Amino acid sequence: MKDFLTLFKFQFRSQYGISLLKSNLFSETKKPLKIIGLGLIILFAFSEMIGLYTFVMWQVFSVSKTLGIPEITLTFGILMAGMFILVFGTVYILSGIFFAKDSEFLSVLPVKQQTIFASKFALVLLGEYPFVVAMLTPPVLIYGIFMNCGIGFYLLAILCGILLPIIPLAIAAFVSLFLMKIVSRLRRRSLFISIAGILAFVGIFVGNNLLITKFVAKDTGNLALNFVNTIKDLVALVGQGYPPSVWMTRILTADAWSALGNLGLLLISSFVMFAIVIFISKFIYQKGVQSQFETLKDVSKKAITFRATKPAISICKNEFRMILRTPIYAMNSFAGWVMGPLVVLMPSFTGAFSNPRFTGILDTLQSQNQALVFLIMTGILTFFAMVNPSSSSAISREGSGFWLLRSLPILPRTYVLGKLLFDTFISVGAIVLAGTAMIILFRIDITIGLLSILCASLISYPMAMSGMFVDVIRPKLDWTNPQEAIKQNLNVVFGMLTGLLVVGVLGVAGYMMLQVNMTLFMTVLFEFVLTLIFCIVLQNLLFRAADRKFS
Amino acid sequence: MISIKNVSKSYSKGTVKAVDAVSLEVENGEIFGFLGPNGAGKTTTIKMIAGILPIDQGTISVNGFDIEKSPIQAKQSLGLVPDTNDIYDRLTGIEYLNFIADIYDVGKSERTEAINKYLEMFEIKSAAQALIKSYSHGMKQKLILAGALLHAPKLWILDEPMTGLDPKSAHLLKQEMRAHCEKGNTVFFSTHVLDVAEKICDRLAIIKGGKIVAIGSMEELRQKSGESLENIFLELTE
Repeated sequence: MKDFLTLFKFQFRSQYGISLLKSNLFSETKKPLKIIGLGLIILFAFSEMIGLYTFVMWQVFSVSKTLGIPEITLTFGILMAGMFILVFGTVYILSGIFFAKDSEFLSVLPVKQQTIFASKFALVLLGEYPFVVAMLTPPVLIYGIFMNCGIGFYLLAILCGILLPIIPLAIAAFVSLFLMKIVSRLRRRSLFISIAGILAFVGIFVGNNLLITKFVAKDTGNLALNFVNTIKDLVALVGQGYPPSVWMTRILTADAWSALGNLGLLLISSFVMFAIVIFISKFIYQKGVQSQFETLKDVSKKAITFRATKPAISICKNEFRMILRTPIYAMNSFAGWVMGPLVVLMPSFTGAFSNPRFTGILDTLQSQNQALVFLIMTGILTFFAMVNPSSSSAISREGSGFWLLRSLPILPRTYVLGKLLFDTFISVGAIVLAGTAMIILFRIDITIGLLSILCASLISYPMAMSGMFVDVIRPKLDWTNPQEAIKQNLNVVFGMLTGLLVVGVLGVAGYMMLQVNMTLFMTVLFEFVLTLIFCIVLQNLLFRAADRKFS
Repeated sequence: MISIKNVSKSYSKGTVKAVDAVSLEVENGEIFGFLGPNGAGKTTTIKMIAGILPIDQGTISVNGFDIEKSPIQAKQSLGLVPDTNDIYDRLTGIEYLNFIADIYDVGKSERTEAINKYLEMFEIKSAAQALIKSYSHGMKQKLILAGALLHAPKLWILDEPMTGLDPKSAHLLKQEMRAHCEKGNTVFFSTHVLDVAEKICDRLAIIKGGKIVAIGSMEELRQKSGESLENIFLELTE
């Protein structure tokens, strides 16, 4: 226990410690106004998301209360939090436990391997609590206030919140350990993990949609009622597979004895799950970590090649290699390539493409207002560029190796350009795949479709620049595992917001064009010109910022 | 050559003076040793010379180029081996060297010759197509050395270059340093191995608390403070 606490304290300090916080917030390069501004942007970004989530919870509560099942609001909130922790927890566990830079250092300490695993697990667990607070507070407050609950309800809600992430994270840890067990025997480990991660994402997405589709078919004619019925059925089904959500609901809403029984069940299950994972880690953790150290040497007899390339292209090629060889980066950067076509495919789960009403609307829209179809399709496609985190983490990913780029005899704008080329390629790839899927599935006129793909691809360049601008201004270079550079990097959130700003301006311009009934040709021309202006202005700003910051 | 004039650098909002009004000249054809205890300001000075850290006060010129006013020309004319071996772990050795050659605009035939030369000299050719993350500490150091030297810079800046090198590679590096200087070029290097410094340096500087406390050839230093470099070093830095 002493070793566990020492290790936990040590890792906690290195990740969340006061000294680190002070250094991050008040280092000499940071001015008070910058800190306040940054705080306000973070607050704005998160309050927007929490606001939307609270609104959804309120809708669920309103309708479920009239149906006499208000407790479904709590189950839904608990279920959502649990599912998210399960899905993302696997990524956090993999990167925080197996791919962390301190793994080698920790593995030589005279401490049992399961103790190291337990301390790292505890650290990941701790990192989940802000998320749990954000997910549980709206349903708990809505239910508690409007059902006139007493102080006991809120105390039990806090206890449920503390226990909530243990089981899903233990399952995620089990999956990760199993994955690392397989991986330790393979030659191309990084590639396997990247593909497994992307396939898992596809599986969860398709499975989720198939599940929802099963219930959406029961149309009552009332949209809100349909939604709550869907949740109700979903909760019942998933509740069978994941009983802790039902136990926690009963702890909060059932009578004293039933609540106590369910609390006992939850406590025992959490403890047993945690104990099982720690026990298994004794046999698998060390092998998984060791497999990261023992990279096999290339024994190929290929001749060494000496190809000369321009600096920016060379940097772009390097980005490709490093992203593809780092699973966390690959999974995040190429998510849009998978997500795009899948999102476009979503209506097919409800049979929309074979519904004459749906296809009729599409055909009418295309024949009556081509400019509108062009703008909508372009808008949808730019979304897939917006979720690309590679530009807003481009400098951060360099980490402690950034000295190399800084010491090279090139202007910072050159390596920024090299990285931009790569980021734009990633976005364009997602746009082309999603756009092709849209043309085929939505039967969009080929000319309009191709123009939309072209325009969205062009827009992806200023979007990548706006994201990278954030990362140039405040790169996050101090990290111990690559996940911190891309997944736990606020720059990615800010990058999405700045990307949204670019799309917002182009969207408003598009709306105004529709108001004055511009032809398709004029709309396309106007959007292209506007995007080009954005490209020139943003490129100028970005290059200057990079040269000023890193020269 | 390097010309450092009245250079200062502070950290923590000016409360810690890492380098304090340092001035020194390193001439062409010299191997210049830069010594000092841990935290004396050696690496900070080297990072300023290489253009990695901004200078608070003073000027540094490298081969006639001001590092702040003409950073590209200055960096093009130097090769740096830093005190860290944090490089792109997920590139192969040859990918890394080709990347460096691309940036320094080294043509195909020159890079083929230079890369082959250093890979063979440091005996890492067989590992050139393996990922850098599979390299040992010494192999990484050799790769960084190869990367820093392959564009034939006039000035070599080497921060603890012998760290992790096997005796044969360390010996070869010392020979290369001497040969480089005999062609009229310059080597500026920091080390904690006083024997090495004593044997191969034409001139030395000792830095302590951010200030240069001694500078000159071995003979000049001996006249001031004693017999061996170890004694001089201990006397000046205690």
